Amino acid sequence: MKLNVAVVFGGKSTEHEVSVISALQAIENIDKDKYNIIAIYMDKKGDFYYSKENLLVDSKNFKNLNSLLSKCSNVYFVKDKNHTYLREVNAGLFGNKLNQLVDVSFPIVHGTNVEDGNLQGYFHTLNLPVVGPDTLAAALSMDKYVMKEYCKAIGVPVIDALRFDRKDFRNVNEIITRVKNEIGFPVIVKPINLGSSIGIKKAKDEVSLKEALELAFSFADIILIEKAITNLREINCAVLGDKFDAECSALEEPFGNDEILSFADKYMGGSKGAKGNKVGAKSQNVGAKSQNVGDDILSSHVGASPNKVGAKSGMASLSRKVPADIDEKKAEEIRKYAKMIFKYLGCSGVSRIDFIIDKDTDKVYANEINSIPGSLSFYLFKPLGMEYKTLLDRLIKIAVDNYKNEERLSFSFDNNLLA
Amino acid sequence: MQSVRLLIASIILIVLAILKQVHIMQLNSYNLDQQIIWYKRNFVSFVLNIALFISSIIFYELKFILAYYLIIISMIGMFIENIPRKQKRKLVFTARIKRLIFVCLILFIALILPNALKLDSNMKYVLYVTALSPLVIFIAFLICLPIENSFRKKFMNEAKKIIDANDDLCVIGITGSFGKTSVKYYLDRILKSKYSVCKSPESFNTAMGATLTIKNDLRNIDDIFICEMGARRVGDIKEICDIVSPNGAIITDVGNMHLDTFKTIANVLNTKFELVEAAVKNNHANKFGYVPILVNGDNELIRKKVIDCFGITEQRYIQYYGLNQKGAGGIGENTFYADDIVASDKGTRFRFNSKAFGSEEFETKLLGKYNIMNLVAAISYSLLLDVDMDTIKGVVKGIEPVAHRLQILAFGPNELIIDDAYNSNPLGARNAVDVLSSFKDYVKIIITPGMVELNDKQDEENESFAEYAGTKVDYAIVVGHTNRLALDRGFEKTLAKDRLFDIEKVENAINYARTNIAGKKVILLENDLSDNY
Repeated sequence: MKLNVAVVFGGKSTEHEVSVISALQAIENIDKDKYNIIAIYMDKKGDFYYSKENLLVDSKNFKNLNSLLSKCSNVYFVKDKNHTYLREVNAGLFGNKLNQLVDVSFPIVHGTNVEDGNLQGYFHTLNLPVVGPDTLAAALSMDKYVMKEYCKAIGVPVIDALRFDRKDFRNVNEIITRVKNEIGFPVIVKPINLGSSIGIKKAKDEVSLKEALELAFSFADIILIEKAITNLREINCAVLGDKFDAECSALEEPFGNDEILSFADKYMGGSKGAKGNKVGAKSQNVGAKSQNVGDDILSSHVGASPNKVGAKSGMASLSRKVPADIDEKKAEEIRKYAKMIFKYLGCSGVSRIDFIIDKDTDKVYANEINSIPGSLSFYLFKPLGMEYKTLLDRLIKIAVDNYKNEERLSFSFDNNLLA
Repeated sequence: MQSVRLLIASIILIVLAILKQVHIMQLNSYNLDQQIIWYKRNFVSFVLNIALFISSIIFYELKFILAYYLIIISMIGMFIENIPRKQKRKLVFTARIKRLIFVCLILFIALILPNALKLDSNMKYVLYVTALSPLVIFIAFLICLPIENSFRKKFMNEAKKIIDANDDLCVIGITGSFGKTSVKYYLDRILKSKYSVCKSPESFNTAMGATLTIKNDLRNIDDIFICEMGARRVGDIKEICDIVSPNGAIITDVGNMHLDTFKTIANVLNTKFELVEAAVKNNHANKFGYVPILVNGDNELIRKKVIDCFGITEQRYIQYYGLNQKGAGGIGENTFYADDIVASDKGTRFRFNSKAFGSEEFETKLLGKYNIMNLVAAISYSLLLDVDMDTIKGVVKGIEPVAHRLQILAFGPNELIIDDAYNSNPLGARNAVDVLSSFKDYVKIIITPGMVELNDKQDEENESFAEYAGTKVDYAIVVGHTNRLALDRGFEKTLAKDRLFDIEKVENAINYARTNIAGKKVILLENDLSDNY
């Protein structure tokens, strides 16, 4: 039986384009003998589009978005009896011609509004199995402060940070005092939930801290001030599985340019036809290495990408080494933490967890979790002998199995208390 | 003015006639034969139509003025006859009914419009059409029939395609004269502990029911589809099998149900075995391996039929279940069987045995050997589909009886009530009495108003039931008036007079039993007539 898998990408997010690239790459690699792919593009307003002629699976078509969308149907999902269908918003005179059955939803989206649990909750309400994290895991992963507190609670070390909201900002001196007393300069200031380097700035002293705060608060109501580690290595580890079983990928070490990656560099320049991946979401703004960086950096694995989309990366200089050159003891520690985070957050599918090693102290810190990582981190499983096709197959199977499992646990509520 | 009045009255009568007749067509499942039988049986309900037709002819053609009063009287009569009444099964405005009504309206408009537009003339054609309205509606029905059949065919083909596309799906057909709905329900409950299961909903046991279930409920991610199959005629089961392609099967029982349409028990048996044949044919290995075929091994007819159909060699496909180790008629052994069945205040305990899975003690809240038999079928089948024994035990323990069907209620450890208020057939009532008599060391009391809706056999059935029950109980309380005489006659044959009471109301009877009869007691409340008896 071919399952109808709706791959949903795009969305009201700053990482919209990156998601398109991740999704098209995945669509190209999904086993078409096993799955019937339904590509659903979500535009920046949050409308869903579907093309019967399969126009949405070719990256070339996205160059002229208006012309592409004019050839697509604006669609919505609807649960009808025991099934979920895709139907056209503007039905013709003789009713809805489109009535596409959907068996599984596969959100390949990055960033706020989509990767943060909202889209997952929407599909859950539609009674569809969802590939990847559920609402809670996605939401927890998105909030950088919650994420840190969660890690502390389960015994995974994180870099100290303070959390402030816009109201606290009225008394900026108190913020400065607390920074001085509790973490000390230099620090990095970042909005609590933005999934890219937007609004992130490093501060060495009081003056630059004020500037950094101003910048961050122009993007978010809540911000985080984190101790900056100056001499660091970044190591990322992806985890595949569900709440019962999880396995780690190969480790990677991204080498960011020491140059600051401005948003324009990353998304305008970089993403244009580039990257098989989610672009260097946040290398640190400042001349430092990319500690806060947590999202993906576009790069080297582009080469590993079988997708032509990735071929002309404009950011090939941002390269990474897979597997990371790191001693086995440290690697084991990182894998252990990665699995713990994956398990306790209740993640599912594939997540990438980014760690930072303070070279001065040799301590490992969990820095960030991407519940739907760019390119679904396929390039980290490849060195273990897992083809992208196999990875995608596993991801869908995990989603269906978990869905069935939950269905088994839920009892029917036949009693109407109001009757 | 007279014309306008007649026209309005006619339109009202036509609308009422449409509503009534299409409802009857719906109740007859749009089956032409059944519809014609209905016309024959209910011809008397058209007397007023004929009266209207004849009086209209007399009035208009023979110009006999007094016939006008006959017209009025017939129309009033038709109005009273056709006015909607409370029905057990209401008219459901399905798409098909809407189409039928639409065709009716077109026909009527075409027939009466030319006459109706001329308000100054007499309304003779309008009256003729009104008088013949049932005929017009029947013609509309005939016009729709081939179109509806092609819709039906198309719909069923779509369902068949869905099933055929799903190689990994395990489709279990369940049929039998009794118990198939219970087995379906128990099996669904157990299999859900391991698989994603879709089952046909209550009483959806026809080809159309299976089609609707596939189209509306079955999902591509489901592992198992349990399809209940009912039959009234030879070929019914085959029709369903052609759509759902079962690769597994359960036959619960074969008995004398629907003999009016089946004619012989051999036909019943052949029809049930249409399922087995289909399952053998479709039983290619999929992710479940070979899907089992399980039949009631306590039924001699089934045992013999298996040998007839497949000879000995093919028996390896087929597994048997029952309440005895030995197969019925001394043929073979049951693969799965239950014994040591003991009723208690909590329900029933029994031992489930099989060579492959060993012997295990089970507990259930269900009562009665039919329920245990049905449970054995579900347990056996689940084991064959790799559900583990402990999981099955847990699920079986949690299965609740259907309310008012051998439902055990306790006022305390020494005071039980078996609520069987919804039972109303002679066989079920006897089974309930057997359940009651299986409570050892209890004073056994039956409270019953008897059974109704048994036509001319009502007195006879109630008397013989009471005679049987009298041998099994210590006290009997007859409630209500309807069957008092017949029941009293029966009980008096087997029960001492001082142990038989007549009490008007059920509540009072229960109170009486609780306060005036001493000892540890169990009260069977057998059938509870609704207020209109």
